Amino acid sequence: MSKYLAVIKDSLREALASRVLWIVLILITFLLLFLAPLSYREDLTWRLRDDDIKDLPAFMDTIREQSGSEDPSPAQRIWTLLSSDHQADLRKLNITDRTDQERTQNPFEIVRVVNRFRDELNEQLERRDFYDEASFDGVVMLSNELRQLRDEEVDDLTDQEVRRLNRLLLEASFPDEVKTSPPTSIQIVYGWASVLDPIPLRSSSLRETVQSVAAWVMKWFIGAIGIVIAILVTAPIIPQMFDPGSLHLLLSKPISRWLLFLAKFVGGCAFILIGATYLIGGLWLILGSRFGVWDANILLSIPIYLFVFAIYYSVSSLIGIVWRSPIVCIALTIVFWLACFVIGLIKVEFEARVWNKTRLVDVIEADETLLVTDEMGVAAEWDEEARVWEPVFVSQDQQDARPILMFMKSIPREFRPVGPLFDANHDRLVSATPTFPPTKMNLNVGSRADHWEPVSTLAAPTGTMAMFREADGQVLIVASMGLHRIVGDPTRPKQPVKIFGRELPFISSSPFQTVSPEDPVLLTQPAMAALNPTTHELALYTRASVTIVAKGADGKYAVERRHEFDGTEQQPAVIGIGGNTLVAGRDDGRIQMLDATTFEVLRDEKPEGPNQPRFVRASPDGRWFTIVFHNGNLWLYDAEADELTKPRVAGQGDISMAAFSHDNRLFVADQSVRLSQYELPTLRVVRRYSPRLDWIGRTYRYGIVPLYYLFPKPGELDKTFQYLLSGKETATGNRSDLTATQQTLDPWTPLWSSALFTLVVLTISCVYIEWQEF
Amino acid sequence: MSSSAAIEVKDLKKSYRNGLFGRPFAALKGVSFRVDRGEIFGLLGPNGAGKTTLIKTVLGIIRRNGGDATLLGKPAGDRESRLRVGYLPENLRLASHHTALTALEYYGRLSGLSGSDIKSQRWRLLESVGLLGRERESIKKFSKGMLQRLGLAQALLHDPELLILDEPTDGLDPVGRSHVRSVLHRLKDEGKTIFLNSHILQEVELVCDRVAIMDRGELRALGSVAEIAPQQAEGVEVELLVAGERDAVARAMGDRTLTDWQSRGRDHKLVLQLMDQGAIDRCVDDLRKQQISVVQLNPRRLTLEDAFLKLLASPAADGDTPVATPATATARTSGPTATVAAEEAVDAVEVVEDVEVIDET
Repeated sequence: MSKYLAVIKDSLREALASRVLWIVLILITFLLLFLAPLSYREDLTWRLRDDDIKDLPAFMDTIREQSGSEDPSPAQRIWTLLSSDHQADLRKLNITDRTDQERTQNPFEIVRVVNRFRDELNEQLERRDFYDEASFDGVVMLSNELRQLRDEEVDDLTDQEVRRLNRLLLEASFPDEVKTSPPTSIQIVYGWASVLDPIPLRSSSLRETVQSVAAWVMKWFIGAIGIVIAILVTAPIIPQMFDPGSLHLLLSKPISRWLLFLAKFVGGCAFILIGATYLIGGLWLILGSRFGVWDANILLSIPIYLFVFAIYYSVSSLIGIVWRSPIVCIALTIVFWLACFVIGLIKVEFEARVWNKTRLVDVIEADETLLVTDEMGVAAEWDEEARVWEPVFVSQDQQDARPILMFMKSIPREFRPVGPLFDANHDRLVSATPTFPPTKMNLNVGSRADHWEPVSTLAAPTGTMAMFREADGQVLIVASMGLHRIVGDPTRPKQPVKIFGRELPFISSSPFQTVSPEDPVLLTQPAMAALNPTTHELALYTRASVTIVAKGADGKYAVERRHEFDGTEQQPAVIGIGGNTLVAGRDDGRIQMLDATTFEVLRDEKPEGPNQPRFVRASPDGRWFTIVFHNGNLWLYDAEADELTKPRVAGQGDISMAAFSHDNRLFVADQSVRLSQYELPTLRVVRRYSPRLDWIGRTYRYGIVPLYYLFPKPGELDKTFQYLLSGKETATGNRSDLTATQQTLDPWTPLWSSALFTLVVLTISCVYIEWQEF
Repeated sequence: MSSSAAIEVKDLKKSYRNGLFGRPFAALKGVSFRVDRGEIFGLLGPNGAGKTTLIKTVLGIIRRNGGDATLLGKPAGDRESRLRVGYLPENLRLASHHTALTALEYYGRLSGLSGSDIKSQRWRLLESVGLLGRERESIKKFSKGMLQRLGLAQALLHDPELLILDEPTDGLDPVGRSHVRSVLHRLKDEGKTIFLNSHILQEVELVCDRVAIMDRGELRALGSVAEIAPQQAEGVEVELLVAGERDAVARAMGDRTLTDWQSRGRDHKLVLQLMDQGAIDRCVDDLRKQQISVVQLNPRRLTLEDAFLKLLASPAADGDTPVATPATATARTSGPTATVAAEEAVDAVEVVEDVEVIDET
């Protein structure tokens, strides 16, 4: 063994004598010195960033329109504090009412006014006199933080606190327009200077962000650039060994050829280990000392990087022993690197942008007809003859948005339709789909008689986020500003109200009846709603609290009880309610089972570790609950027996949805488009809807997947790294929305497949070197 | 095969193929000989004769296609025998990150030595090859001669029984060659067996006990230098310096064939091939009869180089005919049936006419 250790030692010696290594080490030193002054400061969040107001031009018009009212209001307050010349600008530039042609005629003017408005609004947020009690009198202040700050005397507040108060007032006044912000932001500091805009991030989330950044750096900086440099540096090692004057001496020694080769291979890896340890160790020290993120798992990127390098180096070595030319080694290894990269990219992107978009996320029973909806919100009806899901009830808005949505990895909440819901009373489907661009939502109605052809006449209530069928079959719409029931004909346009034959101005009849509780429940994000299919109570979750409302005799809803969850207001949750049980899936992976009356926590556990839940649904009888996690695993909670189990159903790990039929059977969707129906509690398969693969499915299953498994996946080991850092099998994209799709990390596949590939290549190399004559 | 031989090859065959589908060509066509322990054995031959192929086969670096080869009593390529062999390859290249000390440490380890053994040996060896004082310099600064000497040191580091040196003086200046020669003699005195592969004839002539000449994959001659050179002589080459009239000189020479005739006035330099001393005497008599003064007469001895060149100029031996059977070795072109035990071999070295010419590049 000492002979082979000598070869490895010699490789290290060669590394230390290499000028290239020292150049790389010097460059790494410069990089670390450059990054060393980087740090952060935690400030209260107040400044409006570009994307904090969802539709700034529309918001500007809202302010302008409401400024004319004589009653004091937040909009009027903002308008008053605007400079007079900017007020003139806004009056002149009615952006939303302009035609597209008018907008394109003077785009720069619009951009200038929009930027100025945002700047002036930020200046207003700095003012101590922004809060005016009369103007903000009608604003519902749900946020504890806001209430606490408002209760203080403004003079007692620091400048930062005043700005924060003003920001919270703005958010509370315009919950649909202005995004809610975390209490604190991270301000990146270089030395003493602030750089970039503050990042709306809690310091507790810093670790997660650092993990994401570390994985990104791992993938692109170290995994791509670093690997190419490493290939260039180490390419000559194996070919040099085959210089006849050197090789024959080595082969004359009493050593095994294949072990000599492997020792040289390990020596080449040791070469890279020095550079990687220095760089990643240095970055770890900076993150620890400057950002307080002492995460030893970051150091795991050293062996992962080494492993990534070993994959390429095994190929480079095989090329080296066959062609014995460093140039050929470099060229072919880089071609191989590109091939791996492209194949990995095709698979990941195809999955994210095409395959996953067709995943089933809901099932709708329209009497005998079974419908499903996919990630894009497109409904489809099962065609038994053709064995396909046939799209139905696709609105014009959805058709317009489809090309754009196909390019998005995850569909943002603004683009997600609500519904469809089966309105059994009228034998029709009802949904609300966002317009494109998503400035409002249209209500779509399609009756069975018209083959579910959607009719879109009216706008859905502002901030529509859910639809439910009440006990009597009426359709209830849950919107951010309140609850509405469809009582009229939603296919008819609004009709002006006439008295004595004269139309009343500003008033028109609406098919929506507002049934909000007296004490309104504003659903500001993160928010969600769930209907108890047993009691028909409604659970409304917003900002870490859940309110149970129930329909009264007058048809209006009234608040029954309220519960505050632990954690911060920014933490999203998914809830399901059935019988006397409320199940809440929290963003830290916890599943809490509560008594729906007393809110006593019956169970609190993390069945999937830190992996986040995506959907929680209750069975009509209130006994069963499904919890689908982002990593594709399904858990079943039996409230009667108080048992939480991972059911033995097909497709665990690939499940996109689980729901219940009207007769308490379980629907489970896997393999993107397959739907299975199980009997409970036996879990016997009642029926399976397995559609024929279309060209997309065939391309994926028979083209992309085999190629992907054949090639190593060095470009995806960053996901393994990210998993090791976070413990989560998916990457969180949207921190305020648990129902948004998350990228699957699939941490172990790249590892074993790459290890197998490397092993095969090294074996071929060993056999070749053992049998080839030199 | 006898276990007393340092190297023994019998009917050794090796052919290469250019690419997967290329025509094979024979690099060794059934070579047989034996190197005894304690002798310095020289293998001669032009470039492409198959000398390095022979060494690589014996060391197990490449596989043979036929015949047998043993190294220190073990089959060729055996790891245990390689432990007892020191090898200096042709055109030695050492990785440029080494110093003389680290190179010796590295190759010493590969030869199975412990760290302490290496440390105890390397200073003595560096001194013996004349590299003491340069041991910590990067070998990038070494001349070719210094590298060869370092290569020799690494070959000697583990105190091998057998040294196989492939062109050890290639590229060395006269001083360097002399230095290597003295090292070889000293090693011989220490009882080491040395197998020397060279195409520098003077080198072999000066140091080797026995010599084998290879050409185009075949063994063409085997024996001591003294034995091989006279075998090639067909008479004596004589150089004559004479004084007299040109016509008289021409008459005296008669029909003798002159290989050279240079004249300056009455002085003439003649070079001619004569069969024996009687022929020389008759030539002098003829010159004197024509009143020509014989100023100087120089008979020239045939060197190994002359023998070598003559041998290579002659056609190769028939494949089935033994070519040389010296006192302690057997040499044949091919065919296991022609093997003759060393003890039974005749003293003389024979060279056999060849009937087959191989197109070897």
